[in-house]
Amino acid sequence: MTDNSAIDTVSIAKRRAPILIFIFLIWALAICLRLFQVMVINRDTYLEQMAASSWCQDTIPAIRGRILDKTGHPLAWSTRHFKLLWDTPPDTERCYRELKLIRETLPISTSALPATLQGKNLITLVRDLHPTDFKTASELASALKSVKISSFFIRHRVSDPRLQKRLGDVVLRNGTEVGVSGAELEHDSLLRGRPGVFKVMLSPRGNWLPQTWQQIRPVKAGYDVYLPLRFVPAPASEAVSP
Amino acid sequence: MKARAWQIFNFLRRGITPAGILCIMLGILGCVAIYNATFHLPHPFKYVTKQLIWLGPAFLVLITTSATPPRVHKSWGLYISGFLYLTLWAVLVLGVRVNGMRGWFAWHGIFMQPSELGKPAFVLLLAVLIAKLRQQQFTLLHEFLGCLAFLGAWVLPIALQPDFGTLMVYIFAFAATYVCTGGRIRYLMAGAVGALPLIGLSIMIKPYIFDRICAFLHPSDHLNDAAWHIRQFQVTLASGGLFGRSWGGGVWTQNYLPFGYSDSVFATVGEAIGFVGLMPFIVFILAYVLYAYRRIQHTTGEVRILVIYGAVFMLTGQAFFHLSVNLGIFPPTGLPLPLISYGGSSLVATLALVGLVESMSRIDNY
Repeated sequence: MTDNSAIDTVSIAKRRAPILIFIFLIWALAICLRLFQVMVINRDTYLEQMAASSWCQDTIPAIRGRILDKTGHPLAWSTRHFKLLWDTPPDTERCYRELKLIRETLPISTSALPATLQGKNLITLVRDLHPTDFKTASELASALKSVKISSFFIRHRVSDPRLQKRLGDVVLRNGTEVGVSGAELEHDSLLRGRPGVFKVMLSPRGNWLPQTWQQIRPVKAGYDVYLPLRFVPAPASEAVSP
Repeated sequence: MKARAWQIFNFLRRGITPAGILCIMLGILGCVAIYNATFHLPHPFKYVTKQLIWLGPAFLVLITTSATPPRVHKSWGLYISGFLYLTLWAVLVLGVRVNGMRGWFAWHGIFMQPSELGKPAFVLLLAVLIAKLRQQQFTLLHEFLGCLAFLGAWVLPIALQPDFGTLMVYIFAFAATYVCTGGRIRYLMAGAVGALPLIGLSIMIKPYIFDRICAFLHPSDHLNDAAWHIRQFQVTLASGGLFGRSWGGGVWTQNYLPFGYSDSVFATVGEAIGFVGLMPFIVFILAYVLYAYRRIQHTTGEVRILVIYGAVFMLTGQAFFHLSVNLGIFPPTGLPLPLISYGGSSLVATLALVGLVESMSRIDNY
């Protein structure tokens, strides 16, 4: 083929122009088919993989109900508190880098930390976060994946030892207060409440994405239980009368 | 003075064509897509503002290139192309490194990528070279070797950056233009076989290329490293479904998909507007191919037709490569989607190519 002349090039180029359309038509078809496969046919599969890797489901513990006397005076009640935990990284250099940032952000006392960080996994940095420190602690938890804020309950009771025996004890199981003796055990099903369930998307760093938080089941606080007794608090000693 | 101004105005007015206006509108849509991918960032208007600023000079380049007669492109255009070729080498020394690639000149926050700006220059020079070789009555083999040498000289600095995505687009545009305008396919195949040792050498020097190819072929075995980006593309698109999550509603785009405003913009837009919303993009690309086909049928002149072929293959090839990467039917590589992705140099180069097509396909020989 002696096609080195200008005329030949033009005629060949015009003759072969349909190749141009053919190449891109085939390519576009492959793209459309693949697009349909990903976005429609296999969509659920990809979303399941997405959910498994990026969504987190957890519970919101319910606050335990109060135990009251027949006049409504509290005999046992719970309060929610928050503590700051640090899951120390295995890498020593990173560990001390994070510790430096933690110390710069929050007033952590030296006594809160063990003598050596090596071998320690979960350290409680602050046992009871003050409300004024909560925002700072949240920002620290967002910045460092290893820092977590965890809630816990403290069960308070009146100080009368006879009444305490009657009220009974509670223990923490999976973040929930469970009655193990006395009135706490007897009325546990009413007092315990029902934990809520939520799901939230995690960023690639494991942080919550607040705009994706969804409540799946609302939390239901425990019922208050009235005991058939009357509590009379006295200045010197607390007296109980039926 | 007034007459001169009027002359310039009339000259530029010739450069405003329906195809050009449509491309500018797509450029504006690109700004919407960029904002959709970046509004959740600490500086939400950073990227979209820069892109909007670049639209101005890009529009000027479009109408100037479109209005310029082909004979001026063949003369002055060659000098400009030669200068742009020199910048490809200069960036290896004077450029800045971004994401492992030394491919940008930076000056007071303004970044320019010579490998993008060089695309219209490459198309023009290739067209003139092929035309000259054929006029000189070289044999087909010598013509091919000459074109191959030109390709090699042009893409070598790009490979050294390294920017293998752009390299691929150049090679595709070259191969397709060469074949469609009378070249021998068997010479091309021989050239591809001859390039295998170079590919092997590249993989030895840059092992991440091999990792990416392996991740593409076996994504489930590389989910935590090289195939991670591939998985994010797929999940982002799947998240959009049939009708999308609406603009600004892309959860995966905002939190997991990297480079949602540039290399992953197709997936980003897909999450926003869904499968149904993406179809017009593909239809538009095919419509442009059809438009170019009609222009080729009505154009005379060897260089003109060669330029139109080169420009169309460069533009639409890059667009389809971008789509293919986002869909996982091509190994992952960083390629912007013309007119839509963030990137001033890409915007200018794309509109320059569109302008070249308009200029070369103009019927009046002024």
